[in-house]
Amino acid sequence: MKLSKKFWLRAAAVAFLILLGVVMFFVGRQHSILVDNKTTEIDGVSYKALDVCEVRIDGGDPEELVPRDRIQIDVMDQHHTLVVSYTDANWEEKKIKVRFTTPVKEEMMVLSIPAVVAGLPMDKCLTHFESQAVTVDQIEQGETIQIDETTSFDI
Amino acid sequence: MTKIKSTESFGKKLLKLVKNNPVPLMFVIICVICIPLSGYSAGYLIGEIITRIARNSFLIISLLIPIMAGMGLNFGMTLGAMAGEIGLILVSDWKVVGIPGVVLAMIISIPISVLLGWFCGKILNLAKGREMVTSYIISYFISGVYQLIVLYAMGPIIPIKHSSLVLPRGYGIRNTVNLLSMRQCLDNLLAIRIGSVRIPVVPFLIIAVLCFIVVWFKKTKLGQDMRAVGQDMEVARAAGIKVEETRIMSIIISTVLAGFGMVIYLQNMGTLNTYNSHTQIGMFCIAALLVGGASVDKASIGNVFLGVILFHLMFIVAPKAGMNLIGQAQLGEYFRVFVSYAVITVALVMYESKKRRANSLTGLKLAEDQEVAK
Amino acid sequence: MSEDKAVAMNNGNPVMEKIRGFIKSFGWPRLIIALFLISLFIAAPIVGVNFGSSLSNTLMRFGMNSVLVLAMVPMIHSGCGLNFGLPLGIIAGLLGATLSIESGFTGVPSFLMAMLYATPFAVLLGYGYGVLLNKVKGGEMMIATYVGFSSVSFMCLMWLLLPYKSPTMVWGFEGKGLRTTISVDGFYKGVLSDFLKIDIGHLSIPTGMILFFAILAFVMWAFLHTKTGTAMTAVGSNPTFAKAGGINVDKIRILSVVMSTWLGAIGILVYEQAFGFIQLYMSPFNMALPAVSAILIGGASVNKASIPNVIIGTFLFQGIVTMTPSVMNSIIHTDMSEVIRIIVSNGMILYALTRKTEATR
Repeated sequence: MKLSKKFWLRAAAVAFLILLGVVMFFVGRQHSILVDNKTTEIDGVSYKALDVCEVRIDGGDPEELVPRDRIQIDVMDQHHTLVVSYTDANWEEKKIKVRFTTPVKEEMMVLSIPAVVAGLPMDKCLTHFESQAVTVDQIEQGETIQIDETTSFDI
Repeated sequence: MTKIKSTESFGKKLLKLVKNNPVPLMFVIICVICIPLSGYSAGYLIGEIITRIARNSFLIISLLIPIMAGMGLNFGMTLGAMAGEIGLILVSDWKVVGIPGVVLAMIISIPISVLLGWFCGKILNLAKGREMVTSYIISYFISGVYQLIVLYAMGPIIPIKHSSLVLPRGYGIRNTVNLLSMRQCLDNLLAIRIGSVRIPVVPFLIIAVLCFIVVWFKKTKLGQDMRAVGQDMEVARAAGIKVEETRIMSIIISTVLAGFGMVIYLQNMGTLNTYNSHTQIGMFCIAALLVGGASVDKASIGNVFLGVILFHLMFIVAPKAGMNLIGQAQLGEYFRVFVSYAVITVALVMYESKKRRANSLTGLKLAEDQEVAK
Repeated sequence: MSEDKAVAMNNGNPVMEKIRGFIKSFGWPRLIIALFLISLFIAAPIVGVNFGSSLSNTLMRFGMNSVLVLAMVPMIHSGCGLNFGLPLGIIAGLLGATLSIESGFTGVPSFLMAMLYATPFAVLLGYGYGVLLNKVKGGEMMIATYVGFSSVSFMCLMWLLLPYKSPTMVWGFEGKGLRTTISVDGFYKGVLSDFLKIDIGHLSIPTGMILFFAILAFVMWAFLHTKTGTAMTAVGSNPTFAKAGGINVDKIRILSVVMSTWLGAIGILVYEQAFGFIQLYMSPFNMALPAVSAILIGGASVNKASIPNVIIGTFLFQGIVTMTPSVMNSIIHTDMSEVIRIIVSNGMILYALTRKTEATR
């Protein structure tokens, strides 16, 4: 059976769209990174929080963190660069630049800055975060659905 | 002598212009009266109009192809709008943001649009001669199916993870879906500012490309077939054109384009009213196209842009004008709704009576010919 | 093709064939809807829904809506198609209702006066509407839809602007512009639905309202058997033939449209007296669709309708509308009735519009 040129064109178009869709999914996927500056313990070793540091991910706005701070930075895509500027115990200005990746399935992750500064591998610094906090939405009771074909005249 | 003749012809030309374009001229008059009454500044109005051209043109252009195929105003474009909305709901649950989110929503809408368009086309083929009223009822029918899916199937059957989307009862989508992560991402990309007016370059580029595609499409084999089918189905069939398939194709293309248009529209709005956004969109797009001077059997890209400008100008100024004139904004609100419906009514009546007159004329001619033959 | 084969295969069995023929003439969608309603009525007592009260609800809604459905009949008969322009008639009724209250009538006279006031409006609007529909033969339904829409939105302006004074109807603080809902309590609430009402336990029958419908339906039936009535049917089934027979087609069509519009006006008054409120502004907007689908469910088609169609259709449609919420709620604790109503009613209209045999015009 010979398939027509039209068929192959259509198949190619469908394949292209599916591919584009997959690419868009990976590129556009949003990850929320909770950047932490607190004393943590990883594998039995304690890492002390930095006195003050400045964090930048993917060339976004730099954020300043004091000890026990936690900020949320939303990023797109899976490959990121992290720049941490801080002053160490000898009052020397230091700047660390690391690359890391966020798995697609992870929506929210915690990034421990003290661990990054101590030079731990990224998979130790970046951990999964399960959102357990009860959001306002969950507390809120019932919402009536409004299906009204006549009231929405706002365009 | 010649001078008189030229003025005469000018008068005739004017009369012809009025006679051929009563709806756009009526709108020009309404706008001319309402703009000073509303008290809006020119800068504000220009800015608003530019936003609305970028927001709505794509949707309206999606109506052109079924008109070309002689299927009248496609009230079934709402189907595409619903497909676009489903795409956006899924994308916002998957947390895909920005331009990739918009593109992905469009891609998701394609198979849904194709399926719905195919269904719509099949049914319209069963109801030849009354396509418009049928497509209008289809839009209601599919709206019910859409509610069934979004209100009951989303959650238990189609997984939706985020509680910001799902109703507190555990299934079904909330009244409004926030598209903040995608809001105006197309509009803001490469936007230029001229004075206080922001020009969203990317949507305009997309619309321009679409216009070229529509113009090019008219010259393709399929486009020619559609025009032939639109002119006379039987003649087209005799010429070996697959009439039914061509008609279905025109509806599918229109539905897919409407899906894209809805995504562009909603990324500009920034919020999706899950159960209401699509219901009126068909009506407003059709009204705008008709205001631009299109008719049920003839519409061009020029009609689209003229229509958007005039119709939306009226839409912006009417409530404020009503407020300033009578002290009730509600009045202007109702007035613009009335005008939208009245425009469609007038256009439909003109089209039907013209068609009927043409029919009776051919009938008379036929009778005359027979008389002569005798 | 496959259907033919199936019929051929069953040739030996006359009973099967009879059933098949019956289904074919009755139509699949109608059968499914009827079975659905029957199963709802069977399921109702099992899941603990009171049969008597649900039947009385259905009867009540039947009485409320039947006249509006009856308003479809004349236009279908004369070949004007489904009357999607029903809102026009409803507007005439609303004008009658508000004028009657404005003039200060109460009780039964207020209902009679509302009917009286509504009549000239219905005749006038119906006449104009009929003339318009004569200009657009073949495209009536789409035009009718939009005539309905534009008249409703035009009246939205009018309800704000018309100089009504009655304090029960205008907005309290502004003293002008009518309210969106006006109570008819103390005016004509229940004049028909409470008249000769029979209560047996949970079951209550609004005899007066059903009687009123019966009278109108009988008059309609009788009219259709007069000379003018048969002429109307002739115009609907074959206009060229009717014209050749010396019937003034345009005039008959206008008459049918006026009748439909007037019945629409009376229909909304009947609806209001049972419902207890006059609903203005956008509420008449989508009132045509339930009435249209009701008569189609009853077995009517785009150009054929009878009084039994009206009765069966209204009962089936209103039965589904009343039974689904209560039964569904008890079974799956979800109210899907609204969605089911939308899908059933519009699906039915679609089915009727796509029937090839009926799309001869």
